[in-house]
Amino acid sequence: MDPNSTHQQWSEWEFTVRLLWAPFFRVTLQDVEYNVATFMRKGFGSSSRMKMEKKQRVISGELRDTWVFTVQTEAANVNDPSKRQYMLDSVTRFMENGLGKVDVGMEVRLLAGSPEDGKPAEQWLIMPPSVVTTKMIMGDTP
Amino acid sequence: MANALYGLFKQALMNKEHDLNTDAVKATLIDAADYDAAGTINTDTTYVAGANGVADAAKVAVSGTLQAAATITLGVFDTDNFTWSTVSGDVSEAILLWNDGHASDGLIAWYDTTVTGLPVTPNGGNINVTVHGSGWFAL
Repeated sequence: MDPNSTHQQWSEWEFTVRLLWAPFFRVTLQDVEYNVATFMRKGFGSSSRMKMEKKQRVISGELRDTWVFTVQTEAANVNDPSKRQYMLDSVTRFMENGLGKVDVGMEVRLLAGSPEDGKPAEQWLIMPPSVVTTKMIMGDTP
Repeated sequence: MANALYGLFKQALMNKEHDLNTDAVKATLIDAADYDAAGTINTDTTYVAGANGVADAAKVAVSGTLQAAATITLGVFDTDNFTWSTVSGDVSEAILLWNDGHASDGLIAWYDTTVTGLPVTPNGGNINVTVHGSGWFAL
């Protein structure tokens, strides 16, 4: 994959979903992961990848969840304001159906491709994974 | 050559010369035609001559300090993603990680393989870098 080839546009969409209530049922990580991944795949297409993170905060003595979904995609035109609004509305509706009353924030960023404002195209480099292994201890053969 | 940690970095680390979550670690985009990493990465016993250890001609873009969210948890060095702004210059084939807070601007690591998007031809625009979820390197 060369994200910097002429006709590609890659963008990053970060959705921060704050639950406005303390959940009285258990929302498992696996449920959220499966359903959101399926939804995002429909919304952004298969040339995408998603990272998910769950955080918790205490409000008025109650533990409330915040979910952060970061999608990097080739499919969505990040320069189109109507596409941005459509995605925000869709994600908000989807999250409210699954989690109840939520507050959804969205940050969008062009990673590679033309910003369509006369400025040079953005380019993108993706670092490789570091070699991380928990099995390698002193004396072991990697 | 392959991605690698500099031998002198490992030596300096053992000699407690680096503090990676507080020192000013930076990343430089490198034109490999002007810098011979293969000749220096494991064999040199003294720091490479020149500012930051690398010829100026090889340095296409230098980042700011990456330390805003640097972590060293369990021996994994990780930072936030970053951007080289309005980059112009030669075609670049590598990324160099180095410590601006080290007495000799110690070189840390060299990346020229399996970086998606390299080589990159600067066009005057920004170059965004996504650091892998598993960090820059692990000891």
